[in-house]
Amino acid sequence: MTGLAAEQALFSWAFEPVPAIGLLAAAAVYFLGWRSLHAQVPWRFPVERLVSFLGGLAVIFVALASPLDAFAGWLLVVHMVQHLLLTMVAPPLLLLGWPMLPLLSGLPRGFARDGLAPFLNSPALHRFGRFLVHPLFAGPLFIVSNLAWHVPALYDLALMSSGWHQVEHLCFLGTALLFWWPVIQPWPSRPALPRWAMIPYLLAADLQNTALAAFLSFYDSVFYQTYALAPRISGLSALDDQAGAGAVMWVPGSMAYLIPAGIIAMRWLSPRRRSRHESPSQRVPAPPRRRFDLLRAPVLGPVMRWKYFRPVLQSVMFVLAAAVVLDGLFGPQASPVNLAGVLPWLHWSGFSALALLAAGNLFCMACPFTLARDLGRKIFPSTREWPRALRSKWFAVALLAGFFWAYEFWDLWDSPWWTAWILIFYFSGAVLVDGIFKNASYCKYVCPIGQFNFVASLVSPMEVRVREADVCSTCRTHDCIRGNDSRRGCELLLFQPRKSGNMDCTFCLDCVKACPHDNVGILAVPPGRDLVADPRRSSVGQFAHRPDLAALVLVFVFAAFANIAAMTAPVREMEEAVRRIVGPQAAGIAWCAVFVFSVVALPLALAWTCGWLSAITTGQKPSTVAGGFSAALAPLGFAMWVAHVSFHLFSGILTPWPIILRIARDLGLGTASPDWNVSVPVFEGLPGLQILLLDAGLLYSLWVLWRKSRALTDRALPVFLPWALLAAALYAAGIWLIFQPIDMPLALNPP
Amino acid sequence: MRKILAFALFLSAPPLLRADGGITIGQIDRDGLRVTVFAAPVPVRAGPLDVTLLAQEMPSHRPVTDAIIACSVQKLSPPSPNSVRLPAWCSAVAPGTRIPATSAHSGNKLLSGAYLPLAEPGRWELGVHVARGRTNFSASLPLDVAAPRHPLSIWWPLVALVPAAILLYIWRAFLLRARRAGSPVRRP
Repeated sequence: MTGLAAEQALFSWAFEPVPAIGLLAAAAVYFLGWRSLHAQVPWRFPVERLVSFLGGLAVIFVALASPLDAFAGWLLVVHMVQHLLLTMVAPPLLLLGWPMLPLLSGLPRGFARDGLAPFLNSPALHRFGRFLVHPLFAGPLFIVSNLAWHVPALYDLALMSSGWHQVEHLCFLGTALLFWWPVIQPWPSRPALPRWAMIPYLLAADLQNTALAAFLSFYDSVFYQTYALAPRISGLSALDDQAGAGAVMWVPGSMAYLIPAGIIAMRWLSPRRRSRHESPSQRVPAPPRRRFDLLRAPVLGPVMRWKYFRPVLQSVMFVLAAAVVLDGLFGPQASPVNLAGVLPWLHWSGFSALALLAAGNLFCMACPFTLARDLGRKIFPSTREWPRALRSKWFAVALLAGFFWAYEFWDLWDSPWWTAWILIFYFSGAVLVDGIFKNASYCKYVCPIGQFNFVASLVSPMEVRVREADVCSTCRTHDCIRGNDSRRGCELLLFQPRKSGNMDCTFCLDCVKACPHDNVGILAVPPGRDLVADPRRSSVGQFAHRPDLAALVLVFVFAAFANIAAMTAPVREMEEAVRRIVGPQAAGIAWCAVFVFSVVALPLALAWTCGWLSAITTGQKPSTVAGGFSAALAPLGFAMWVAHVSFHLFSGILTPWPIILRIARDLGLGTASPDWNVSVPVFEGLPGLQILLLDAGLLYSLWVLWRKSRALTDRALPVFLPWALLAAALYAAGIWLIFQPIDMPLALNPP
Repeated sequence: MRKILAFALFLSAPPLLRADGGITIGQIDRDGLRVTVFAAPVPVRAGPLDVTLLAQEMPSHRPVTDAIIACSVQKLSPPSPNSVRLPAWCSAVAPGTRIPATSAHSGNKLLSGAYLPLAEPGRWELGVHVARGRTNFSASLPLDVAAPRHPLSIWWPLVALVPAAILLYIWRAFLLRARRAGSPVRRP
């Protein structure tokens, strides 16, 4: 190989997202658990255990992502090194980290206690686990797996198909973990056989390894057809390559068995010494476990608590919104070459949905409309109360449904001019409504984007809430809602001690800054807690008694499916066919009717029917059941929204760049001509990611529905079933929609 | 006996080679260069075709990394009514358009690769265009493109996660019930 080719070979690293994310997640969970255990029993979980476990994960990463994997199909010797790392290096390192307790301690407490503990406490599963790691089972299993995968038919099958290659690696890693378990015997497991039995155990494995290695080394023709046909990229012939692989298996492979056998023999023959750390009295009590608080996070926390954090964020969004408005009004009226055709519909929607999924309602935190409103209040100081008759979400539901309808009917995403005017309406609405009426009436009762974010943030993993309830019980000033001389209180009238969930919370952090006790944070919360319990929330009440909130959630959920359906090729073709048959005007009316039916009438009818069927068992009013249970569909609807907008975001992520070049050229600030052939990032796994999101959404919704049914009655199944069928039908529709080709007029067909 | 065993094992092995761009579909020997063409999926189906190529100097077999390689596809058979909608990242191009094959495409940096849009099933021709110094040649390989697989046949394991998770939850409920039934009743 030439120097350049050798250099390129060394750079042949591949990034596979699934194993990489899995390894990172394992490292993070282990580290969290180890940190806690290290504080309590440092002699049992010293730094060496952490290094060992992380080293094991790093070895797996090297085996799967380094040039070892890239060239495993061409050179047997490289493939053998990869297998040795997976079977003889990574598993002992992982087990030396004594991973059981750190991994369990590092998981979210609720998941470990409610999700895993029933399985871990099961005597039958305990017995099964002990059977799996019994040397008389684990040893032969490892040997059989090793021999079987070296049969040419299986070996070549793995080389031919990436799927089978992954199965092979899983087999190697899985059986090796079982094999090394009794050798390492990670604490607190107990040995099934006396320690000396590990010596013949390891020697038996070495015997198999030596026999296989000798066979490969001395066999006089190429054993694996794949390597006979492989392009030779080095001076090594296929037969030499095979002999080299045998040598690798023989020498380092044997050492991996013989060294531990020697250590065990020496320890067994040495006099026993008792560790000075074994006294349980030296155990340090566990530190209290605190919920994750974003405002106390190392770097982000101080930045977010900074006085001008929100105004700066809003100003950035304000400048972007102004650019969108100006380009929308005065730029070229073709959406792919105009900021107004790209930024709001691809980037803002995509990033705000991902933020809602990862943290919470961060868009409302950065809302540019409320910046304009705050400036406008200097001219129009609000004096009136929001009309009592409108103090519900019905008006907002109508506006949200109207916005979705306008989006579909007028193809708003395809009109920069209309997009600019929508932003102008938003700015004017915020200034006018909050200039006349007190508090954040616009956010609470009008803004469709805000309502969308409120429903989506029911699923978010964080919420603004009090840190210590006891501190609030002694508070008499209630600055979090009333405000004080320097800070205003919550304008959405959410009283922190009685606030639950994210409904109506804009993450403005006014309460955080107003609280004199520094007792409000952005805390991680167990998923679904607020949806299951449905407590009486401050200024929101119970979902079960808020049909307007139920309607809001239902419009949000069904619009998620209708919105993506309207972009799929079959629906667009049907739309065209109807237009050809009945003419454009009648087709427009027909599509209006279809929209109102699918986003408003159908969801309300289905929710009422499910509520009525469930109410037969519970004896409650159907509207009460429907109100409480409709909110449980929010996770599924949000999953569909994220699956949809993530598709647009990934497909159009690079589209603003040529537009920025075009604007710079138009303004005389640059001479570079934009290249409109924007490359679309390749992401073959996007449908898989979308399906996983829908899976998570459906399971989340089903779990909440089941818990709510159980909370209502012992006969939960008849209460649960109608809603579960509705959720399953929506999921099936979502899967079908993901598989449909989507028309992407945005950003991909520039002039 | 050993030779018979070896022969039997040899026959049982699938005679195909896989690189990280798929399975060998052809080899071109021209002007002192050998270009091995890999493709995925095999059998080739309508949709994006992942093509990777390994260029080697012959007879030394040294990998060539400084050649400019491009690929193109052209439909040979009459248009089919079963056209497929290509994903955004692999949009259709005019027949015969040369798509550059780059080393950024695959993990193995000795390979050059590209995604080629096969918009419908039928008989296609894959063009390989190689330029290196004074060497400049084009060659073609026939491609029989089958109809695409239904997406559900590719992604079904992810859909199956839902029933699997529900079954695990039911099992958990049984375990909890068994544990409660087995635990002694507390007396005041």
